[in-house]
Amino acid sequence: MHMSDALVSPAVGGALWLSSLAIARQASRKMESRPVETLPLMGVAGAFVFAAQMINISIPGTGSSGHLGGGLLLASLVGPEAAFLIMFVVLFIQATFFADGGLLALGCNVINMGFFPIYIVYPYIRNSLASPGRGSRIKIIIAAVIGIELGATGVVIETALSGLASLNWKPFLAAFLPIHLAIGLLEGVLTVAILSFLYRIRPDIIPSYTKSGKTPSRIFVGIIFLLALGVAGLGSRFASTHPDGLEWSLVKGQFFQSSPSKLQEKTAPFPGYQTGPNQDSTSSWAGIIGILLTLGVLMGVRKVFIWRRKNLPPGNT
Amino acid sequence: MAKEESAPRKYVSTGLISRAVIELRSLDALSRQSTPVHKLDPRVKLILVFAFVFIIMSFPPYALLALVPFFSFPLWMSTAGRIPPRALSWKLLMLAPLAILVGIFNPLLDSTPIQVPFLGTISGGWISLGSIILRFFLSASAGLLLVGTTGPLRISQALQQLKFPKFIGVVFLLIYRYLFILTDEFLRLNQARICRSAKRKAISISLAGSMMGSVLIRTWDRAERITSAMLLRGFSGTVPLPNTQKWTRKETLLLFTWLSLFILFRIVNIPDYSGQVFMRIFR
Repeated sequence: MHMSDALVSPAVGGALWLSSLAIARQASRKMESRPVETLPLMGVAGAFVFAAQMINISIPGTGSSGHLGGGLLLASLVGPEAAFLIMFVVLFIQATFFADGGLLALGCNVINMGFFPIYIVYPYIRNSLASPGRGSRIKIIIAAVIGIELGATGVVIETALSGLASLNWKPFLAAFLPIHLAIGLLEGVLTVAILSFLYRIRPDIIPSYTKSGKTPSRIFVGIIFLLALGVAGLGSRFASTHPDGLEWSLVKGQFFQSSPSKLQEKTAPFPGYQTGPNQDSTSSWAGIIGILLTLGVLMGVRKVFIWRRKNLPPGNT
Repeated sequence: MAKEESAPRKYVSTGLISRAVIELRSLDALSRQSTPVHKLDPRVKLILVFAFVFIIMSFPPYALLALVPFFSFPLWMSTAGRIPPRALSWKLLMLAPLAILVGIFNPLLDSTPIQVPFLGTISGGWISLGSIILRFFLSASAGLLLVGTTGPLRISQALQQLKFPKFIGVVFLLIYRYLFILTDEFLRLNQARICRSAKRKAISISLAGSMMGSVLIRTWDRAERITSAMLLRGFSGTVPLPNTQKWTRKETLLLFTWLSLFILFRIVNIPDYSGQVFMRIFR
């Protein structure tokens, strides 16, 4: 479910980044009353979810595989606020260290995999998580499925708002949501398996936060989320009618006296050939020559750089 | 027969974990070098990488040529930061199929005709697929280079200094550190399982749950011991900031140079422009 940067437009990515930062800030404010001793436990729980996300369990009969998302598990181990912060960091590490999920898409991923299970689903099954008996096991599994499906829906909405990947929506949805039903079931069953193991062996680990914690203020979080969706929607609408908003605003702002495309027109070899900065002239040879020139310059600079370094006395780099 | 033996794990693949640890270690080692890029204030690198990704993604779907000059940034980081290209290229190639998967349907669904030398007319979807792949390589390499030239400690300090929510920096560092302990713990446990399970390849979900649970408990206990040790040594919930790292004029200059280059590359399609000038001169 890790979205990559290629799926996300700056408007959507930026809006969700800001909203996930806002939620993280609120969570971190709530955390301040907690003793310092709980911080290393957050580290362990995060590392655990990180490692668990790397164990791919194949889903029988589909040819696809899934992994633990871990949102619910985290929330029941360390409480919702800490769980959200941990999810943020885990996804940040995955994006930077493993290029798994994009940097710009980080906000989207945090919302899909952290916000939905932790802030939307978790409050409803808080008590079931604290003591996984037979009845509450089913509740946890259902809750996990709902959390994952919400996240999957989030992926679809964010991709649609960004409008970068051209997709046939109906078949995509018809494949995407059922496979996440299976992944959600896996998530639920694994969460139950781990929690009941912990409950059997070390019951002292689980309940301390789950029972005493207060419900996160869902109204605040809901408003932030709606705002983010609104901003993202408006932003991408704006972006699609003015594809080069950056250039447009720079020219408007008198940074350049003449528009750069005019400059290009004056020197253009083919009369009537239009080259805006964003319309790639893949139809002309100029493009290919230009790529070669640019790459040549880049590689040349690199060669000079390396040559200079080799000729410096050691320790003087 | 031989094929069966070479694939001992069918339902649970832990290969990813051991690979991840190896990759983490190699990046960790690279980040301990001392080069001009490593010595920079980590905040500059963090801001530049974010700006870089943001600007790349702001290009419209058909941008292909205009993205090429952006390779200068990862090239600069890897050359001046002495990150061998081999350390990145393998990982990027492993991940590339994911990026291709995102845009694989573009050529079928988007049939805007576009003229290309050598190939004649092709559908615009191919161009946007190419654009997606280029973007992936650019943004993924920037992220990996950030880590390879900065290291976890200084990234967490930068997160703290850049006023990210309070616990993000310290939790980042802790997760990073525990990751090594936990994955080692898990690999040992899995080795023991393989040794004892003879030819049984599949493991049930309840066994997976018990295994994960016992890894968690072992690491949890260890974390409690480490916590007491940290508290005894004066841990106060924040990452200590270095006295030596200062934001100098060099940092400001570098930040503005790269930012203005990014904006220039965003506005002017340099390969296109230079190609046209070239053709005009040599006609």
